[in-house]
Amino acid sequence: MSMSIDLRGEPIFRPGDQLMGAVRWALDKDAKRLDINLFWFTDGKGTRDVGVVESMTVERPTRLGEKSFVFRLPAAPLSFSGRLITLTWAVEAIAHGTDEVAMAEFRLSRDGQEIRLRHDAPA
Amino acid sequence: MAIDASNSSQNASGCSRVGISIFFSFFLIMGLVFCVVIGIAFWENLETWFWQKTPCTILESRHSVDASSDEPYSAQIVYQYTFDDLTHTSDTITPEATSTDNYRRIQRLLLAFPSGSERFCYVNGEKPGVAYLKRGQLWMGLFIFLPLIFVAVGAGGIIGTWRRTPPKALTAATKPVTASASNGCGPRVGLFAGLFLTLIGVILFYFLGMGVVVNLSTASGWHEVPCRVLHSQLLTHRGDDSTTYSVDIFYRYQVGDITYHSNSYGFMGGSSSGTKGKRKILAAYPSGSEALCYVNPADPVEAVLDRGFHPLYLLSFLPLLLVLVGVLVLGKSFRTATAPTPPAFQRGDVQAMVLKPKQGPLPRVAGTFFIMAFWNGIVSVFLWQVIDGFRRGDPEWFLTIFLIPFVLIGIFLVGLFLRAVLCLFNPVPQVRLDPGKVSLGGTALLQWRVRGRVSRIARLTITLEGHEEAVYTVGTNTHTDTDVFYSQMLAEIADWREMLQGKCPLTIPHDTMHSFAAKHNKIIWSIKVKGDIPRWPDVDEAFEIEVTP
Repeated sequence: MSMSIDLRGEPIFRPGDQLMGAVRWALDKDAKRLDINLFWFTDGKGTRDVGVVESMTVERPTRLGEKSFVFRLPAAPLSFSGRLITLTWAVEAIAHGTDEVAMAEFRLSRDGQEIRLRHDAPA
Repeated sequence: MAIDASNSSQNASGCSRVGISIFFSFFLIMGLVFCVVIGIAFWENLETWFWQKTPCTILESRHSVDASSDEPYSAQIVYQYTFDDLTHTSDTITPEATSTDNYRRIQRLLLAFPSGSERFCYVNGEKPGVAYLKRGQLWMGLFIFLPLIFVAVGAGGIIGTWRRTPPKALTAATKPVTASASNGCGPRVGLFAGLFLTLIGVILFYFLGMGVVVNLSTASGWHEVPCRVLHSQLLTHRGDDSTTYSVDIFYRYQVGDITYHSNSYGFMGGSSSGTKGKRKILAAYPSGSEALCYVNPADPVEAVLDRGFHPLYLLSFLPLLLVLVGVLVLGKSFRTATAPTPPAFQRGDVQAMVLKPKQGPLPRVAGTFFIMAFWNGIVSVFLWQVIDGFRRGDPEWFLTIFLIPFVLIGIFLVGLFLRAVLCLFNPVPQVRLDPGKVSLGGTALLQWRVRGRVSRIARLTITLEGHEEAVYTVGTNTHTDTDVFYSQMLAEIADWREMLQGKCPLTIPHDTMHSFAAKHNKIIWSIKVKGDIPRWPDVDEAFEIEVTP
């Protein structure tokens, strides 16, 4: 019983890029449906916020299967890391009716670098 | 997946959870006990609505007075009815007790069921010897909502204590992160709670406060009628941990051909500690004396000896506090429920725009005034009691000491309000940004203008600031933490002539974060304008700007 997500290429993307990948699963019981979500979520001191940007659904998936996906990435919000908040992008697959969940994180960045909020105020 | 699990420290330990659960269990159990008590009483009253309506003859109708009781008045109504060819005699009037310390209820019963009249009673078909003249009241079932508040607080507290967010690494492994993507039940719970509080406040105000308000507003039109004081006494109400007193002046008056009785002194009943003031009132209305009472021409059963206003009547407005809180919760929840998701950012320039301050001076004055008036309005009722106690030479020391922190907060709120009023006379900064939105690494032209007596400002600073803002919940409290990650002084001016207007370029670093606004987490960029005014509240305005990716 397993489920995994493979993203094509390095997990660093720019706004407007196409995010391509595939979900592979081997379930020990039938799932009602399988959702693949493109989303961001926050971590840190604040209560978690989650924004689902795009989703695709596989109705009544077979127990053993694979589904490729292509998502167009939006302009924002960019991945960043601060003292209170960290914002992360990910693709998540959920097999409803089973306990199977898989997630693959990636960075949405304009120049490939992660935004780290500086706390050294300029003079 | 590498998700930070640092928040696990927020989880309460097992011991503290048990302690908190015991604390909330008290609320839950007390609420449930009262729910059961009210539920049983409601059910018994409801049953009488299915009893058989049967003609009856009122044989006797009079009141009785037991001066030794703290509820001295009761109605004695004897009636006869025939059920299944058997004649029964009864003197039970309602399922509720008829003894009372407010004679008005007795008077209404005697007028509704005079001796010799033919009326209907309600007979228990299974026990024909049991009957009531009036069926049980059902509205009292509404009071079940009051203990339900305790049940909700208790149950919510216990559930909240044990349903803390588990460490996030665990969350990610076992539960879809997107399961919390919707607004969740938060706004719905808020809407329900707001509606619930508003409803309770309205019901309580209707039953406890509306009568006082209506009577006060019509009191000047009540008729002055001579009355005779039949007895005058101080009623003692012994509670579990305190004894309170009330004035009981029983008097008789006539309107048309009908003789009425009443024991209402003013528009508000109830009892309190302290006897000096009450004895003074009783001395003015000794037994057997003639006096004047004021009778409501629309309902002569309603009469009082004193139709003036007393500050204690303000207590009638207390239920409106619940209404206010309910409406505020409703409004906040509605805004949250309908809050749009973070807008999609548009690249490209936007026309120049005049920025709006985060909070203008007038809303600040209105806000502080409202809070100050609300707080001090309530505190003043009790403060008046304290002052009156000292004036009468019978100070209420416990209330005096208890009130000190509340008065200090009231004084602080007055200070805040005065400060906000003084700020109305401050010079007002205006800020214009061209273009109106700035992209990461982009530059805009910031223009400012300061209106008013700018010469009072000793030093003006304009700063570009970016900060994180995170809202989180610990137990039942919501906290907001902020952290400034970028601060750059754009202008620092000491000459007031240069403060009047000016401009400077504003550049957003390319390696920082754009504006971001989710429900609990935000990245906020703003222009802060501060002006030091000697011996006066400073100019301190923030203008939020939008930084796009």
